[in-house]
Amino acid sequence: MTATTRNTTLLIVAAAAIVVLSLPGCAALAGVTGELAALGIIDEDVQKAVEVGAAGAEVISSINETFTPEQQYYVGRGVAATILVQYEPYRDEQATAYLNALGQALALASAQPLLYRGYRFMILDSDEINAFATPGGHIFLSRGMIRLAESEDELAAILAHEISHVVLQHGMKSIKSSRITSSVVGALATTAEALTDNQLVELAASFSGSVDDVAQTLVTSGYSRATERDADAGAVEILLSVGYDPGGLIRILERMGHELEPGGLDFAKTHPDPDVRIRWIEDMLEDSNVVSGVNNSVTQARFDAALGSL
Amino acid sequence: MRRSLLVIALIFAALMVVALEADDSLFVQVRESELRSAPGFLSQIVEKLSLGDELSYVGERAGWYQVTLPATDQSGWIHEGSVRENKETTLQLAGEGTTRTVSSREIALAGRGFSENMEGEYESGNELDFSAVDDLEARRVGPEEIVAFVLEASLRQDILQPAEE
Repeated sequence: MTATTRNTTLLIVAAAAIVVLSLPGCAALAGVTGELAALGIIDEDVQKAVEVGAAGAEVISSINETFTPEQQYYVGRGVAATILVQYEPYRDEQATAYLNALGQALALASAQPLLYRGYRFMILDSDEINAFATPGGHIFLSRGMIRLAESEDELAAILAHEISHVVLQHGMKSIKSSRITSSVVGALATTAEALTDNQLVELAASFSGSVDDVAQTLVTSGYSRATERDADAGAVEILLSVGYDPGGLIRILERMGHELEPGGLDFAKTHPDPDVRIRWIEDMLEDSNVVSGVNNSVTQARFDAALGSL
Repeated sequence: MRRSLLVIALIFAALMVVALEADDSLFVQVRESELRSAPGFLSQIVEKLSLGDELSYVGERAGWYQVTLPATDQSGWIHEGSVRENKETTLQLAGEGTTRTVSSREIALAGRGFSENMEGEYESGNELDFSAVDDLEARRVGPEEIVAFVLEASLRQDILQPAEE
């Protein structure tokens, strides 16, 4: 071995060793940027740029890995509290118990049956036609929405749509990338793993802004058409898994189309036209062969007993 | 020279082994969970688990992981949604001449209404009603209730328990 090749070999081994030895450092940085992304302080692109720039290698986790169920839960709690400022809970024990049993059965059939604290369902005392799902699994249905349903599979369809928003993390994805603050980005560029108390305060403020982003989307601006379509597709899958007729979703949307008032501040404002949704759901169902063994006299009896007086 | 190369190579190999071993660990990512005797929500509970508990991966089937508890060697099954591969990361927080470690949880809790101390403050400041959220979260549907709900109307039982292989 000549001196030159020896040195070259050494250099390669040393370089390889440095890469391995620095992995914990990369992981720490990925952790920091991951947390910031999770808190809505930076978005995935910034997270990626910082990590690629600093580590020289791509260390990026998908959005599903970035948010822990615990973080989604705490954002969801804030969103739920915000919703409950605007709406009063409707406290009917029998109706709420029925809604929760149905909701839990549907959640078990979803791609994410277990959340940090599970799914919870509440009726809101409002004649509006409305429903909300927070990233933490708090799901709200207005009395007006529930009254539209005439059978268990129709009510299941609404709940399955809301559960799909939670499973697909639509709420978390509505957090704005503008929650990035310049000083946080600056801190990342220099000392990635050291944050000052001041920066922590900024993180908190940005987190609070993130809660507002989600609440604003749910209550006022609504999701995109593509997002609602994905939630409908998820709902159809859940309904088929549990054994309900997914046609229940079409039937309740038809009724919604008659009842929604133009210019209303409920689903009329935040969701695509029911006719549009019916068309894409019909496309989804074209190839599915629905074989339902559900005992409809049992489901109808318990549906009427629980919700008849609503 | 050859010897030093060998040493470096051995260190390298040792680090790789450590990295591979760490990949077998799973951590509970929900507040409470259960280790069960077989895949499925109807299977017998063999151990109660809580957030952060470490498990060793053995195998998987129908959305469930077979795992062991390193502490007791207890073996069982847990739903894949209850665990994640990486442990919660910690951040170094440099304060006034001091450095302390904060967990991501602390940071998550630092926002509005995300810790018990701050919740009261923000409740009044923003007229938020966390007590109603607590009421909502207090409601529990027992496993036997869900089973009865599914069985009495002939809904599909495999949502509770995957079919045997």
